[in-house]
This record gives sequence, C-alpha cells and structure tokens, in this order.
Amino acid sequence: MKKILKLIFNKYIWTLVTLFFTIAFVIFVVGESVVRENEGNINYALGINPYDTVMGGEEDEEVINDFPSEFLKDDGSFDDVAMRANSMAVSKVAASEGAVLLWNKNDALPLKANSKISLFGVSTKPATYLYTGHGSGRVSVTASDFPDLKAQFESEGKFTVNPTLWNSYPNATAWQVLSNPNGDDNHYREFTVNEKSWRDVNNAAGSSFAQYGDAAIYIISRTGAEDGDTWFDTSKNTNDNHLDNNYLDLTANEKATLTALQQLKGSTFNSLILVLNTGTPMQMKNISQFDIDACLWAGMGGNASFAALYNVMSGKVNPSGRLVDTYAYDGNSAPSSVNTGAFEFSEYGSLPDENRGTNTYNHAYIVYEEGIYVGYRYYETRYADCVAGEGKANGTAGVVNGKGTWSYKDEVKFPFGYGLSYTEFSYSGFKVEKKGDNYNVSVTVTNDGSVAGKTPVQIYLQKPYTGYDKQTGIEKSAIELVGYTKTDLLQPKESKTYTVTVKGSEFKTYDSYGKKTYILEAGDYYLSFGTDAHDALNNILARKGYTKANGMVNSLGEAADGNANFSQLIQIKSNDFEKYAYSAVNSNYKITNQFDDADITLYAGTADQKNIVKYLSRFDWQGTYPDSPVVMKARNRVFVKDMQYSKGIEVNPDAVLPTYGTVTSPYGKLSLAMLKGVDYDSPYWDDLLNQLTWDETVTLAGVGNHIISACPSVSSPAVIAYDGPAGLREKTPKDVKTSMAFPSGVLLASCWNDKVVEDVCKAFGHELIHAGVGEIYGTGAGMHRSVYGGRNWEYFSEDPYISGQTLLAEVKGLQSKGAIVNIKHFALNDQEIYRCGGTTWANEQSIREIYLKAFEAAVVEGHANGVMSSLNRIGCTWAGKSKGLLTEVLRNEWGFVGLVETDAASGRYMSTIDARAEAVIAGNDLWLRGSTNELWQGYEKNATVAQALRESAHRILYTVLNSFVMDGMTTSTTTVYVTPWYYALLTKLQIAMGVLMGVSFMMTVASFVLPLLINKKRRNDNEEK
Amino acid sequence: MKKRIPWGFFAGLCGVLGFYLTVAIVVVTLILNRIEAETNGTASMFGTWWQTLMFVIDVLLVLGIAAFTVFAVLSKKKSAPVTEEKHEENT
Repeated sequence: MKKILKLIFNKYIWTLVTLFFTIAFVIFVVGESVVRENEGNINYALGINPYDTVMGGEEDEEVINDFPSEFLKDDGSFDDVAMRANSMAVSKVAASEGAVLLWNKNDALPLKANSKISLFGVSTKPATYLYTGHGSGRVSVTASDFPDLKAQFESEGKFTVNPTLWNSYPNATAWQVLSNPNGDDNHYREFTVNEKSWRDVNNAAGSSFAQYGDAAIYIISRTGAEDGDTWFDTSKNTNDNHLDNNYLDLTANEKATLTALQQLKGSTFNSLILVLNTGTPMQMKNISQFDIDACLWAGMGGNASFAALYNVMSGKVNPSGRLVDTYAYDGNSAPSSVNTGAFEFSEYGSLPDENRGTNTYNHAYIVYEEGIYVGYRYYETRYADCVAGEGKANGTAGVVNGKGTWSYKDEVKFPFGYGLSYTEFSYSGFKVEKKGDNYNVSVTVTNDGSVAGKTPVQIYLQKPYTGYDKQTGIEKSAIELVGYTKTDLLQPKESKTYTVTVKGSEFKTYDSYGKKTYILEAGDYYLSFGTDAHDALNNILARKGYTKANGMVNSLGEAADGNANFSQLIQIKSNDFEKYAYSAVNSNYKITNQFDDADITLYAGTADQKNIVKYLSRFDWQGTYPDSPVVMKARNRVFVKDMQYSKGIEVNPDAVLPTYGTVTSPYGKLSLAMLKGVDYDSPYWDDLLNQLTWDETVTLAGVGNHIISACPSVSSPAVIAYDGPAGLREKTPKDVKTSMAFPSGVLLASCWNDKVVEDVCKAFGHELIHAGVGEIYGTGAGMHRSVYGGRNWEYFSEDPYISGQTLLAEVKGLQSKGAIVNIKHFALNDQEIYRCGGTTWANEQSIREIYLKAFEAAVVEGHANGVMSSLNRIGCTWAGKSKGLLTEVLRNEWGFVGLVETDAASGRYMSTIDARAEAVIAGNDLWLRGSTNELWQGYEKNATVAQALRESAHRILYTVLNSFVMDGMTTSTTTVYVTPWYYALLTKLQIAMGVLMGVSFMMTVASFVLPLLINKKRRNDNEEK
Repeated sequence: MKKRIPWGFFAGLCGVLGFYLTVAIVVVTLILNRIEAETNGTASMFGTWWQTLMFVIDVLLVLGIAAFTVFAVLSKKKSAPVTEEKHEENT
C-alpha cells in the first residue's frame, strides 16, 4: 500500500505535471490577448470573415443589384464554369494579340501544316513554363486546366511533336527562386534557370531530331518577382554560368543548345525558332549572334499561354503585338541602370535603426539621376541629337555595347513599338486636324499582304527643346507616344482610315525650377506617325531636312531616310504659362511643385551634398551621363529629422472633434445601403458617420489585412481582398476550384488594344464576383525604369502614356463589375530591393511626366476607386505620409474620390501610432495590416487626427457603397460581428488547462505533505513504542 | 544517507521544456511561412538567429533528456545493492 501511495504521490512527477499544465495555462491566457491583437492576421490565414449580413424582414424592399454577373444558371446561382470559360476565351485573345514577332526569316513562321516539330527547353514542360512571374502577384496555375504545350500543338491535327524529346525533359520545376541566398535579407531573391545540357538532350533524344525536323522550337524563360530584381551577381551560380554575368542573358547551356541547333539547321532542322517567355527584355547581344530564323516574344500569358503560342505559331492568329520596351543589346546601356541596385548611405547620423525582419530599411536610397530619360526617351533623344550634331550626343559617355563613340544602332536592337506581322501593311493619307484644343490624326492603313492582320497606329509628338528649357533645366524627349489605336482585322488588300485624337494637354511640359507648374511653350511641335518610336522620329527628322547622310538609320540599324509625309509641324506661337497650370478637374486648384523635398538639388536636407547629382541632360550628354552610382550620406540635421518615424502633427485649426455612436439623422438610424446614389459631398454622410463608434473608426482604417472591416453601426459589409494583378490569388469560385491566371500586365500592354485589355479585366471582375472577393490588390502601373525591375512583368511599360492607357482600360474593366481596385504602387516604387522604407530621389519633372502620369488617366478619366500607397519613401517621407502625393496631387489635382490603402504595413515607419496619425492626415486611409496594436491610441481627443480618421472612414465607406459587395443587401440589412470559432476553443482550452493545473497542483502539494505526515505518524508510533 | 540527485526529475524537466520549445519552433516556422507566402516565398527554420538559437537549445534539451535518463538508471542500479544489504542487515 505504501509503495502504491509512494508511486501515486511522487512529488517529482507531480511537480513536472504541474509545470506542464501551468505553462500551457499561461500560454492560453496570454495567447488570448495576442490572438485578439492579431485577429485580423489570423482571420486572413484561416480564411475567416468575422462579419455576417442579416437580411431585414421587409419583403418588398428593393435589393441592390448594381453589378450582376453575366454568368448565371437558370436558378439564378453563379455559373462558375461558364464564367471561367469566358475568362479563358478573352485571355486567349489577349495573349495571342500581345505576342510580338521580333523577326521572321525564310517564312519560318507560321509553321506549315503537317509539320513535325521538336520542342526544346526545360520551359516547354508545364511545371517550368512561366505563366506569371513570382511574388504576391503570382497565380498558381493548375496545369490540368488546359492542354500542355505538346497536346496544344497536336490538338487540331496540324502538327506532331517529337515525343522522345518531349519525354526527355523533366516534369519537375527546373528553375529555382532562391530566398535570402546571402542570409542577410529576407526581402531579397535570386533566380536560377537550370537548363538541361545539350549533351544530355542530344544523348536522350538526338536520334529523333531528323524525324521531327520541320522546325526546332526553343523556349527560354526568365522570371522576376516581388523582392526579386534581376540585376544580381550570377557569377556564384556555376550551374547556369550566365553570359555577361547577367540573368537576362543566355546561360551556358542555352548558348550550347542554340549553337548546336544552329549547326543542325539545314541538315536536320528546316528552321530554328526562339520563343522568349519573359516579363522584361532580355539582353540581345548574344542572342543576336545566332542564326535564328524567327523569334517570338510570348510574354507571360497565364492560363492562356500555350493556346496563344499555338494560335500565333500556327497562323490562326496573325501576330500584332508591339514592344512596350526598348530591346537593347545590353541592359546596362540605359542610364537608369547605373543607379539601379542596392544602395546604402555611406555615412549617416542618428537615423532610426534598420530592422529587416520587420520590413524596415532606414539606410537605403536610390537616385533617379537619369531624369526623364527612361527607355526610348533616352535612346531616341540621344539618336536625334547625334543626327542633329547637338548636345555632344556622339561622345563616348554611355557607350556600352558599341565601341568608340555612341551609336544608336550599336546599342538598340529593337525600338519601342516595334513588331512584325505575317502580312505587310502600307500607310498613307497622314493628316492632322485641330479640333478645339485637341488634334485628330488620321492614317490610312492598307493590308498589302495575303493574310488578314491587325496593326497598331502609333502617334508620337516632338516638343521643342528651347533656350528657356536649357536655362531652367527642363528636359525634352525627342519623341513621346501621345496616342494610338489598333486596326480591325484587315483582310488582304483592305484599306481603312483610322483617326487618333491627341489631346492638347499632351503638349504641356512640367517646369520644375522656373514656373513650377505645367507650361505650354512656344515653338515647333511635330506630330508624327510611325511603325515604332524610331520610325516616327525619323519621319520628324526627315521633315526637318535630315537624311541618312546625317547618320540616320532605320529601326533595324540600316542607313535610311525618314518619310516627312508622316509628320506634321504645329507651331505654337507664344508661351502660355497659365493654360495647364490649373487642375483639369478642379479649375480653382493651382498646380505647383509638391516634391521639392525629393529633389537633391532643392531639398534642405541635402544642402551639404547638392553636387552629388547631375541630372542627365541632352544639353550635354557627354558631361552629364552618369558614370557611377550616386553616393549619398544622411548626416544633415534636417535629413536626420525627416527620417524619423514622426515629425509631429500638422494641426488643423478648423478641425472639430467628431460625434461618435450617435443617431443624428431625422430619419432615424441610417444604414450604408440607404445612401446608394448619394453624392460623396452630401450632408447625409455626416449623419451616417456620426453613428460610427471610435473603435469602429480606428478598426476600419487600421486593420485591413485582406479585409475592409464591416461597421455594424451603419450596416456596412466586410470586403474581402486578395492579390494581384495577374489574377485572383488563393481564392477560387465555388464550382471551379482552380485559379485563373490572366495575361500579365506587360503582355496586355503589348496588345496596344484598350478594348482587349478592358475585356480581360471585365472577365477578371467576374472572377472576383464569383469568388466573393470585393477588392483586388492590383493592377500595377510602376514603370519599367530599368530592365532589371523584378515586377516588370506585372507592370506595363517604360512609357507612361501606354502605361496610363492600359491602366485606364484595366480599371474600367474591373470597376464595370464593381470591384475595388488598388492601383499600385503609388509612387516611385520601381525596383524591389530596399523598397521597404528606402528613400527615392527624383526631380519634379520626371516624377510628374513619367512616374505619376502612368496613374493619372485611370484616376481622372477612369475614376479609379482605390490606390495603394507604396512602401518606399519619397525623399525622406514615406509615400503613405506624403501630403503632396496623396492629397495635393491625387485628390486636389486629379479629383480622386476613393480610398488609399498602404502596402503590407509591417514596417515601423508605417505603423507606429504617431506615424499613422501623420499619415491619415496626409491622406492615407487604410492600413494593410492585421494587428490592433498601435491604432491611434491617445488620439481620440485630438480633433485634427480624429477628423482625418473620420474622413478616411467616409472615403472607405463611399468606396464600399459603390462596389458589388453591396449587391444583395437592402436598406434594412444589418451587419453583425460573429466571434470566430477559435475564441471558443481558446476559452475551453483555458478552462481545461486551468482545471488540470489546479488538480496537479493539489496533487503536488499532497505529494510533498503526505510523506511528511506519514513520517510524523511513524515517529509518533515509534515514540509510543 | 547520501541524498540522491533526482536525475529523473531533470530528465522530465528537460522533456517539458523541450516539448514546448519544439511546439514554439513549429508554430514560429508556420507563421513565418504564412507571412512569406504573401510574396510567394518560404521561410526556413533557421532563417533568423533566434530561430537557430531555439533549435540549438531544443537539441540540448533532448540531449539532456537522454543524459539525465541514463544517469537516473545508473543511479538506481547503484543504489539498489546498498538497499538490499541494508535490508539484510536490518533483518
């Protein structure tokens, strides 16, 4: 018995058991407060929407149905299958139309019927082909949703694919994304390619080549990603051995494959065709050394990738895409590449500490020293100045691929706007007519070939580079895209005239240092038509009297004259510094500089280092071309102060403390649905907002991790949000359990067809409706500032005009189905490295004419309802705290009425209480963050902050009201908060652990006390004896 | 009588602490992976210095379990013959 008692009351065991349950109890008790604080994040991770809508009791109430799906079954439920079929159909059209034929010798394309073809490259297999790039925009494609490349090419019996070769390539992913390869930065990625060696390919399938020798088709892929620019050092990667130490050039195995295939041309293969599956231009200097018959840029076509490849290569679709980036021989020949990369201050004062683990980079910078000379604006302007003998353009500075002095044909392989067709087009009847402030430019297009085809009509403008410009530091590109349209499908011999309206406002220029506003200068302007930017420029040069004797070359680098008949001189007789100095939306609002603090030459915080930057100028190419990256320090007192997370609130003396939780409407309690159709400025909104509580207000603004919170006091519904621009990530419609990847941004822009883009995005809007996702984090309109930008595949172009028009088309399409679209990233977030808090420096002209212009049309014309403020700082001020950006430009100038949401808000510079207070005043409304920590605690009685928060709530609720999320609701629908299931589980666990802890504690006490009692009794018994 | 060191208790203590530390390592890795999945990335169990430290301590605790268990067994074997002799003496 004693032994049994000793076993049961073992003090060591019970001590350990008590310790076990005590720790568990403490974890669950403390954990509850952690869970409550991070409820937003947990809900997102578990896919929980904690709000429910409860229909009111009235039967005859009108149900909101503003954005019905066009794909419904007979019983009124969603027909997901039909909807997805539509998404695929429009994607196939777009992916086919965006593909660009770069060259096509010996009629290699389209493939002849009954061809037996060999497909080379690891990228031919479904697991390796890049349907999208990487990062948060990546959409996981289900390969079984569509035929693989072999099945696609054999689907109509036209072609036979070499099965031996096909089976010799691995089915698993060959390339890799290396996260944090150096171990010091979790926001840094590199990529490998892992192409098979030619020896292995030949050994496995060489004997089959001759039998399938009608064409050798080689697919090469390159990705890019969020956190993953592509400028990294590839020399450590001894498996790929990239040529020129450049990820965007061939690997050793790719070179060996092309070399071998080239050698087999003629004897084994009739033709060699290269397909580029990339989101950014590859370097052409090594690729162009090979004798390749045809090259097709296919972009990243999403689910429609293989269908598009088949359509174009079979001739079902005549390629009509045109490049939206300049294809240089060497990616480093763009001046922006000099200041692209990872730059940290050489010295700094008391800046806030870096904390890369919490996405806080306080010691980084990037300087846009190239100014407006991004992409073709650089190459074409320098070319024009070489022809004209101006600006020391033909000096040695900037010579990268060529030798000696700078030459266009040595640096540029394919200009912006370039592309071929299976047919030939001729152009005539170029005419310019002024209509009010605008210009109607007409061109007659004739299909001279034997195959039906489409082509873009591209209209460009040259503004005069005047003496005033040289005095005041204004830069002018020699050519700018100002309008385009796409022809219909013209049949052989068919002619049609197309008219493009060029807005008069395209003639304006931003004067950063003189008038500090938009100006219209007197001088000679030229409108021009061209088959690409270079062709259009040549036509202007021809009108000016230049010829090939002056060094003019065509788009293929051959000596050639332009055609003056396709350009028109327009003379502006006098300067007008007022015409464009006021907002087009708000005529009382005077436009002026907002970003002086981002210009190193103007900012007080860089007064000690103004000379570190010399903006690239066509006045002196040789003297201003950047020869090395800008080296910057952060010691200046003003600089250090501006880098702190908070500088103090800008008090609004007119601010009034809002009313909370009170029904003030004479009609009684209002619901959001009651305000349908009510203008943003209606006084009804005051009554609605008065009903919100303070907690609801700060939660609405501050907890937005993939959700816009509901507000039960006004019966506003929750809105679920997901990434990303290329399709809906992670959430699928009920009856179609896979994701739809749409053609990527750059491929859509390459269509040069806004209608096609709008159709794709309307389909995208349907995907959102069917999946119940009201807000999409996208689309992206960052610039292709350099070819190395990791997210170039998500964004559109190096040109702001086509970027802006494509974004406008996307917004129109998505918003036509009631989606909330967060166009991103606003602004100057054009590279990935150090974007979380890195400082970005540029002058006002380049900010406005290049980087902001890409967003402007979508806001002003498209009435975009959402903007995502970027992670980087503009100058020293985080974009989300930039009043100049979010209030002055976005709202006052452009008339934006919607919500501004942050990017993922974990950086300390974005999320401290004081930083949030300043940001909400500046115009940032919603934080993409799931924690309730630091939610403006302490500011409840601060009228300035409280009123700003109220205005944020106003914008958010207005945006929600006008989205499809309201469909199905009536004026009596209420919203309730439903406690997530894990709280009940947590409570049960706390009780269980508490009971177990108590019991085990008692047993522990007993196991200590009992032996003492037993021993005492024994001693007493012994004494008695 | 010489007081016995409770090796078994220390083994148990290592076990309890090791259990919770293992759970913590798994939970942290899952959370970090969920965060990284936002940008299509992954997180490793050794991504940060403190994750590595947790793992090292966990390994030490496992070794502690093993070591203390061995000591406990040996100690019990060592004390068993003495106990028998005493019992014989007493009887």
